[in-house]
Amino acid sequence: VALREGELIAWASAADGGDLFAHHAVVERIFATTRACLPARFDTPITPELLHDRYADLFLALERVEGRAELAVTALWTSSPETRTSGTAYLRARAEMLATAKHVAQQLEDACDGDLAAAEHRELPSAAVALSSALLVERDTAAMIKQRLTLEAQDVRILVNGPWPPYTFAALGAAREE
Amino acid sequence: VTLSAPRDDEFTLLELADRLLNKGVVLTGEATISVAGVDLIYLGLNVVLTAVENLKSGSAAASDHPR
Repeated sequence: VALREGELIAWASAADGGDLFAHHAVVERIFATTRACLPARFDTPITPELLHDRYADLFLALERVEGRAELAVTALWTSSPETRTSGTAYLRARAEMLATAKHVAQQLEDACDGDLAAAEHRELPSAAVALSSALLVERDTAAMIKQRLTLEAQDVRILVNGPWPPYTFAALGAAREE
Repeated sequence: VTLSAPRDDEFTLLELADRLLNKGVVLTGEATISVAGVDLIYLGLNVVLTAVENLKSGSAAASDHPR
């Protein structure tokens, strides 16, 4: 169903339908045919009342992602971290890993040069992953930037996915730096 | 799926599922799916798929709203 409020259209499916990746497929299809597309979180309810109440916020959020796409970067450790028994050694190793992750995040931002609209980094999200980043870039240049991001870095291997609809940058009322 | 040596496409799936479940517009309250501050998605793919199933059955029972 399509809910309409002013200049916004919300596409929704019935409450008992769909799964996670079917949701993504629909979002991608809408994303491909519109310049401004704000992906909703999976399984989030919407009503005409909600659309009316949050109209201004939604409009601002749409403007923020208009013409833009998200690149997902995963930096994987190239060697599996050792199991450390001593607390001090663990903390020291953890600090080194964090420093590496932050360094890679900076390298990614540098590689985007002036083409980065916003970025969100998550350091050390799991044992195998040094860094998980979301980069908001112009759609027109996303493919080119994606190639630039496959950079050589010490201790990690870079995996770049996307361009995807800007999931990470779709939160309402988030005053992100641009 | 083994967590010790996941393939690249499994990391792709994790990154995507993380976004679908934890990012994107929410018009009602924010609810990050996490356990003890760790995003659930990074606990492992099997856990995520279970969580998605829980989410689906839980919300189908609890919600009358169209999505």
